[in-house]
Amino acid sequence: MLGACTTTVPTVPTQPAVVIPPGPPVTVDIATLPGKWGLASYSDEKDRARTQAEARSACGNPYVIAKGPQGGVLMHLPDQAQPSEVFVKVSPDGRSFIGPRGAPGMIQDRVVMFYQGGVLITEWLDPSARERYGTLLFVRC
Amino acid sequence: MHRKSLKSLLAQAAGVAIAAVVGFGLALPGAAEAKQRKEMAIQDQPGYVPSAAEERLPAQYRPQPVYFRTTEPPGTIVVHTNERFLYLVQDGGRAIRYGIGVGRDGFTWQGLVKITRKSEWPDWRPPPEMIQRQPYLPRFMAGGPGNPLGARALYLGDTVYRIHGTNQPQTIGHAVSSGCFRLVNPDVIDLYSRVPVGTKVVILQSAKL
Repeated sequence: MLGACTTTVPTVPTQPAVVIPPGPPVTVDIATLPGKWGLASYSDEKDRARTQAEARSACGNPYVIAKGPQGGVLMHLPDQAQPSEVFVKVSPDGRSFIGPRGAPGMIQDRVVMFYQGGVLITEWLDPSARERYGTLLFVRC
Repeated sequence: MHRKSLKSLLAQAAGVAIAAVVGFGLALPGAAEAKQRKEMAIQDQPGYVPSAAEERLPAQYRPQPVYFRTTEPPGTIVVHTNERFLYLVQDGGRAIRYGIGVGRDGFTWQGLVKITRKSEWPDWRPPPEMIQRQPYLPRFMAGGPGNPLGARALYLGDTVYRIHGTNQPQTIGHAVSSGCFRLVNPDVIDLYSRVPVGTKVVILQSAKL
């Protein structure tokens, strides 16, 4: 009803701006990602060490990354109950992103902050997901 | 600021305004009986950070001084689950009353315990059924503003039960599926600052006059 009276031009909902958190270039070999991971999160860097210990102890209920049919891996996008096939994408400055096919730095991507010694640390680029879930820390089981 | 306003209100406990509050408070048990324990249909929202406006509760659930008849000594916490109120007993037949939400665990027991531990920004572990529904959730979330356990936790005895904060202010005044006794974060911070470890906590499932 109200729509019939409107004089405004319909607008396409805009996605929130992607802000890439600062961090070092990180190399990720996608072939090393499949497997079982303990998953925990933190918001404050001072909690990182104990969060890592908690992630390790979460291997009894692991987050499972499987190989995807197109050469990627199956992981979840923000708030999606079912996993999607995602790929490692590298930006010109050497930052690695894990997300759907496309340019590095899409809003559905995670940016890799650290990957070494069986520890993978990522952050969502979606500001809402990043605020809600903080920094995600995976420890290989 | 919040605490100061409470103190000044307490200093006026003999005032007419307080008498009105008492009158309202006496009427509540009947209303609470009718409310039953029907759970609010809401799941935990890990990571959700409520705004200050959301944390401003309806008037009856905001912390306020009330007359409170009890034989418990000042400093005791009395939780009335059916009323959805927590009372911190004060001198002179008064108490500070806080609105609470009661989780399923909170209805499973009553009795007397003591606060054995206090924690700021407690960590949270989503229950297994939640991980099953949302497999992307971290199995552990270090304490922080979006944590479902909120800003503070007061652990009760050697049980898993606790008085804690929440990132879901809309659940205050309701029965909910998860947790135990929840207050909005500004209120649990206020309560936390007023009670030491060793504080006696009385849990009552039915209001008694």
